[in-house]
Amino acid sequence: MKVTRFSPPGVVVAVILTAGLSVLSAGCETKKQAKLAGGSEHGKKGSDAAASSDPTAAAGDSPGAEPKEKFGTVSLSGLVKVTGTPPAPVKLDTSAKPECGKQRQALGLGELMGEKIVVGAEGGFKDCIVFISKGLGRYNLKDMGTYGHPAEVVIDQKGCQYVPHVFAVMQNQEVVIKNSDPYLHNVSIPALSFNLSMPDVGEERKPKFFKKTGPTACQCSVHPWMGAYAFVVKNPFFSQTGIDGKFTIAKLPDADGTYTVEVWHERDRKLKAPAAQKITVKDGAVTEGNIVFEFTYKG
Amino acid sequence: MILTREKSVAGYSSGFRSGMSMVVVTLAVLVLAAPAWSQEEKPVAPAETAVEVTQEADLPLLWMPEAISTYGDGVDWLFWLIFWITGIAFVVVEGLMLYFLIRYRHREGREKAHYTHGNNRLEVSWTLATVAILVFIGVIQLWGESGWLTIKDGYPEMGKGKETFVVRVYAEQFAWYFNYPGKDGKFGDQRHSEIEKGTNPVGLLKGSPGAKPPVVTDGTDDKVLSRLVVPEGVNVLLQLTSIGKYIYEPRSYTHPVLHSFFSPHLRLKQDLVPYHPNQLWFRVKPGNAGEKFEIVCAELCGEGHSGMRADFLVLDEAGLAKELGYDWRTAVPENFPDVVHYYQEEKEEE
Repeated sequence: MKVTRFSPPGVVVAVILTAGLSVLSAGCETKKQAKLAGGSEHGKKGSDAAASSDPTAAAGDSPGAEPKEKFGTVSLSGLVKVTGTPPAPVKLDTSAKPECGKQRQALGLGELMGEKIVVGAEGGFKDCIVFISKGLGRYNLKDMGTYGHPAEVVIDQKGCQYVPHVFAVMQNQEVVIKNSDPYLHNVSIPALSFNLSMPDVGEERKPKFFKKTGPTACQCSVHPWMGAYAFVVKNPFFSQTGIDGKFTIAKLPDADGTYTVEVWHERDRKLKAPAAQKITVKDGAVTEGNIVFEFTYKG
Repeated sequence: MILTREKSVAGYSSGFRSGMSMVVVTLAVLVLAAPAWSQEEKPVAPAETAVEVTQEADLPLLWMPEAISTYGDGVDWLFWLIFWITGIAFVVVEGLMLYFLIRYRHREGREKAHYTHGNNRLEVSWTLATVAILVFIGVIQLWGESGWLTIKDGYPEMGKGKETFVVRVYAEQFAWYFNYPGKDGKFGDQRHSEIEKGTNPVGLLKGSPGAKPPVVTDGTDDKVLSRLVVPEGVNVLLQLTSIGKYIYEPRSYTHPVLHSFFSPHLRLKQDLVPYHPNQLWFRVKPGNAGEKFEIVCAELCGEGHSGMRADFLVLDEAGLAKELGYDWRTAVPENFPDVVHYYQEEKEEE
């Protein structure tokens, strides 16, 4: 059996085809480049929405666009606090990774303290997510979009710390994972089988990243003390407490209705969570006034 | 299949031409695809990144570092013994092979080699000689101050009045934690369900533990560091355990994986097998106080394996008291507590 060899004309054809494909692919911009400034997709959706004269006509799913559902002016405010004597935050031991100490010093960030239970001077509980869990069934939640909240949520790694430590994110929000430290971090989210190595300063964009509602833990494989929580919500009616423990959920529909409000905190075994509360909206106001959620620390 | 050679009019064989064609195609692809490769996104640097972090430039180890443990020199002696035995055998065998390759290379008119059965006496001799050497190496390393039995089974005693420095070592993906017993001289019990990232990384039971029986020892005064500190000239006993990761909300747990405790300066290496805690011992030779060494993981345990290291410090008594916050000689534990694994904790909570 004779072996057929390549013929010169065949080689020439192969070279020309390869050259043509390479030139074509070099000219195409990647999806990422299209979304960055200067790319063809930059600002496309925003400019489309702005051009529309009917504020309710634009697709509610587009970030920054007016939603189809009309929203109201009702505001729910309140406080989340802790009773009992929770432990004070402790300084974390980062000596195993000396680059962290140097970076924090350079950025003027101070000592790295635990962020799990942070209580304000007046007993306010930081980093709680207060959200409406029931009562919005009559509204088309998909058309609410991210109304009132930014189109994207940014989670940053700075000084070997996730900033913010807890963040609420909607199912249709884009998540931007940033590394502000000029060394390796590894973002690991076991629940999503997600593992992203970030060896240097940079960012990664993840549209509609979180799908399952509730808390999802993020951790760093390189720096074992680093941890963050994403609390995934399905509607735009939520609020995160600061050091004072206060929250405000704004723009609830004006129509009369009853809603269930819940609070979530990453907590531990010793912290007893409060039960959900029902609130009533009547004549454009919350009849219960300011509400209070109380965590109890047993220990 | 029979390959036939054909010569073209130009005088080159078709085999040569096809080979050249492949080279030309490959080069063309590489060169012309270069513009496509160069389209990498540059990282976006935030304005406030102020520091150029440079790792401390440790020189790579070109050879074994200084042996600081009492049995380290003996391990090195064994290394050199095996090195010379095998080195001489290697030189002789490879030298002969090289000689034969050249001496009996193909030459026109030379008779083709034919395969013979061999020489029984010769083969038995060199097999027995090899066996004898292996047995010799195996037997002489068993006993003595640096013998295998001494290193792997000669654990020092622990307890009140004993001069043994005792530490519990936990390995997780991807960090080492060193648990010192504290002033009460007892190791606090450990539960995965108590693990708190950063503040209680190994899950010591503290205060009112809330765990059901068996009896629980409070770990409030235990010291957990991410570096190993030991005194010189004293027996050090370590218990090694691999732990999984635990997240309280939402409740999830990852199984422990294989790690390996490796200290080049101690000449010591020991695997940590999930669900099978084990022990190690060593004694650092006097004259090493104030030195810093390294512990690394020597068994691939995941994507963070290469960064899984810890500092290992040899300190004098004053330095140790300052590091630990108590006098270790008055707080030598009687025993290690039982290791409770995650699946056993679930039964405890039922």
